[in-house]
Amino acid sequence: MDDIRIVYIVDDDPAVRQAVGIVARALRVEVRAFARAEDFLAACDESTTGCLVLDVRMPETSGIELQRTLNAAGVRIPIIMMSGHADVRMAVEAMSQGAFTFLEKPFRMEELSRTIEEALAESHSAIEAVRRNAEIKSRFESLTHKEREVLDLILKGKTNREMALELKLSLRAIEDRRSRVMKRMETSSVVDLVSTVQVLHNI
Amino acid sequence: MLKAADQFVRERERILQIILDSASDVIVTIDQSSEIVHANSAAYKVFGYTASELIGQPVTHLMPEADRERHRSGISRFLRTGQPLKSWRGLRFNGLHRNGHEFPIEMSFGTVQRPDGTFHFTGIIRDVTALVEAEDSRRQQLGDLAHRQRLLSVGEMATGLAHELNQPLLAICLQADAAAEQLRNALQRNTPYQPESSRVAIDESVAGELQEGLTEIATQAQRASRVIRSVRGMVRRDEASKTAVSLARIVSDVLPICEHCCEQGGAKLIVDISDDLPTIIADKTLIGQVIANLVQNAVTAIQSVPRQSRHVWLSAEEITGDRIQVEVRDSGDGISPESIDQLFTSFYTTRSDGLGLGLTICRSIIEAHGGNIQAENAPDCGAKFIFTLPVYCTVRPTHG
Repeated sequence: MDDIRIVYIVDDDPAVRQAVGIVARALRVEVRAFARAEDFLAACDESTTGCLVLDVRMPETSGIELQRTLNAAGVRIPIIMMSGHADVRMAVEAMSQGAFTFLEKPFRMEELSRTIEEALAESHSAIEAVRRNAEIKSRFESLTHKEREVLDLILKGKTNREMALELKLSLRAIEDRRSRVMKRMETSSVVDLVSTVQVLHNI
Repeated sequence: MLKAADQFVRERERILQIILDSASDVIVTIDQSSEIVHANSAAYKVFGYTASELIGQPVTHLMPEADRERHRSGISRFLRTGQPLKSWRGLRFNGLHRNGHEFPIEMSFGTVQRPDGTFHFTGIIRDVTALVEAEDSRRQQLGDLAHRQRLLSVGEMATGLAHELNQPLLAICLQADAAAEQLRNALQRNTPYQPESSRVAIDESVAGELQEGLTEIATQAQRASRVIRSVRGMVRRDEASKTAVSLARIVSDVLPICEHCCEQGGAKLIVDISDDLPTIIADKTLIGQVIANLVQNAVTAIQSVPRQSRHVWLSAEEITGDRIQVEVRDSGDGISPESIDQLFTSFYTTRSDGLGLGLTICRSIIEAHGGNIQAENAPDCGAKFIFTLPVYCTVRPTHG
């Protein structure tokens, strides 16, 4: 997935932006750097992917504040938080707000490279999950009202015979609908179907 | 008739003697040759001599060697000019006890001109040992506070430095590592398996040394950062010792300093701290330091208003979210809008004599306790500094 290999850098110090940028480019990653949290906010939205290398302490909006804003706005991008002073409390806060990891300045290239790769992998699998969820949702939405009725009863663990009685249909008609549901949901077994539909409930 | 007058005089002398002897201060009268002509009974308690032992002795017996010449020249100057050198009230000297021990005294003089034109001098002498000790201990306390403040300033500066220096150090680390990496990549392209065209003209041994040098630069940059960190660690280890403590206790410990400070600035301190606030976990000296610092700032801020309206309020209350809120408010002119945002920034100050670290240190301390601190202008007048601290447990402190 080449389209999500983007590293965003937000740090007020140009020397840090440049150095982090060099390391990221060596990973064949696209780099976009910002001096202020506001500039990054203006450039991102819910569909932003990749990872964010973020400085905790900045003159206007701090890294922690930016993280909070992103969370509130539903921008789910893995954040690599950097701090210039070993501040345990800040690290705890960043992590509890869902930061991907916390690096203490100064760190080495190897550590940063590895962390960026891991964060990009996380971003990638998150995107995959979203895509899969959307797919399942659209499959589900393609079901007719009658097919959904059957799906409901399957999930409740009813047998074909019970369904036939309940829906006042022939066993044959139930079997037909059942196989259409399986086909449209692209599932091969009841277990498969249940776990797929489960995803819908979690969204 | 004469006899009756004589008796009257004697009776008056007797009453005078009783009055003099009932004083707890020593009252000594000397003639102009500094010979003691009268002393009251308090002299025994203070100097170790009875009144009768003192009469006829030079008063310089009651002074340490070093002060005697000053006494003599003071007397002779007065006799020559009729003018005392300085006001003869509440002077501080040292007294000399019979046992050789020196102690601080406070003294006032009076002069009496005799019918023959000569002078008598009466001195009222108070032993101020206890007072001086109390003053010394207060000075000591203020000195300790100043020492602590200096230590904290070092800590705060180290924190500021850590941030400022770790930025360039990070750039150094990453740039050096990246350069070493590029060199490694370039060397790999020089293997015989690579086509001649993509090879780089570089001497392998030079390249190896460069690579080592670059890696060493990054290593040393990290080491520099560790040095700063250890300075902070040192200061911090020294400072922080948190215990469960009540706010009332913290305030009562720091109250003498606050009161002293208000007294100096002609301000009235109004304290409203309830005994039954819940316990907090805190380094009580550090939180005390914050309170003292805020009070001190408040006193400085109200110097421009008339003395009778200089007030400083110190209060605390429990607020929602299991927190205690402490407020220091003053009756001054408030904080100007342009400085309100920068108050807690290192090295920002509106005072010519300030370093601009006080509030920064306060913020560090409060934040290290899991609280926060802010400044605002009070609706009626003056500035308000508010900090909150998390409650440790809602069990009320037991008294005693």
